[in-house]
Amino acid sequence: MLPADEKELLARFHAPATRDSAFTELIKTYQERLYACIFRMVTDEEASKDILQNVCIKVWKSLGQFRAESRISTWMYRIAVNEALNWLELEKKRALQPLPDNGDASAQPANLTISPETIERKLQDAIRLLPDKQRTVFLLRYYEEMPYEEMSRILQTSEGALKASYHHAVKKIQTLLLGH
Amino acid sequence: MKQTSDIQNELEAISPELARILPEKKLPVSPDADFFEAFPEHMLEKIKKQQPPVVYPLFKRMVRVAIAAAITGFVLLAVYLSVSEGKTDLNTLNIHAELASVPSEDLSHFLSDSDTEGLPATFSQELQKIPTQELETFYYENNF
Repeated sequence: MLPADEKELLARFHAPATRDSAFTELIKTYQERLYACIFRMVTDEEASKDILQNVCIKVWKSLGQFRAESRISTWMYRIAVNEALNWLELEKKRALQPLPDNGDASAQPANLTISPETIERKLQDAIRLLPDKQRTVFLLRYYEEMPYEEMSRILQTSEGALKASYHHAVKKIQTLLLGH
Repeated sequence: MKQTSDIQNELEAISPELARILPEKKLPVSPDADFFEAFPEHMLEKIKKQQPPVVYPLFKRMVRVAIAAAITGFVLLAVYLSVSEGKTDLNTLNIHAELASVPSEDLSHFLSDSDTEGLPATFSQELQKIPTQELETFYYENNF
């Protein structure tokens, strides 16, 4: 199941002499993708950096026990998504996550005359309004272009349920952006 | 340029209007250019600082065995001391209880002088008053 390059990297991580270089290579390979995924979920630059650090620490601590039941990238995404969801949950409890006052996303339906920047901003506002699970599914599917099969391993949810979540998320974003 | 991947087709199937207006995907905010360059090494340094000093497995195991042996020894010693102390106390109590229940006029026929040699004078005198049969029964019952 594990590709040859990941097998080789895992073997290097298991050997004390090459562990550091293997870890550095792994982080270099995935750091930007993981950061993008985390940032889209939490929409806070500093929090995203902190979460990425936590992800790296967990990877270092747990990669030795990695059972190779999925790709390393899938496993790292799972850690990142869980960390981001935990952060969002804590933020909700602290009630420290007010939405930026960009107006009601659904007040003025977007159309082709609105600039791409405005649509982008409204899209991000609409994504923020989605429930955590739907937002995660939408971000992983739309931005990360992740196959449902891989997403299913990351979120421990059936592919059917993920497709339904994505469908609901798109419909909600449509309502918020277009007003119908 | 918009993507024409399966994801775009899927989006168009669910909401054609949304698929038409969504702009090109991009990362809304990127960290400083140097951030990702320095990040892996920075993380490695941070992790190394957090790690406890390396302790060899064999040494670890030896320390654990030594601690376990010390605890076991201490427990066994404590049990031995408490049992032996309890036994002494029990025997002493039995003797005193038995002595108290024996009629004093029957003590004089059982013990010879050699039996009472070395015992305190008052205790020996009391023993002399215990009847032989009573004392024999007491001795057998208590496995002296």
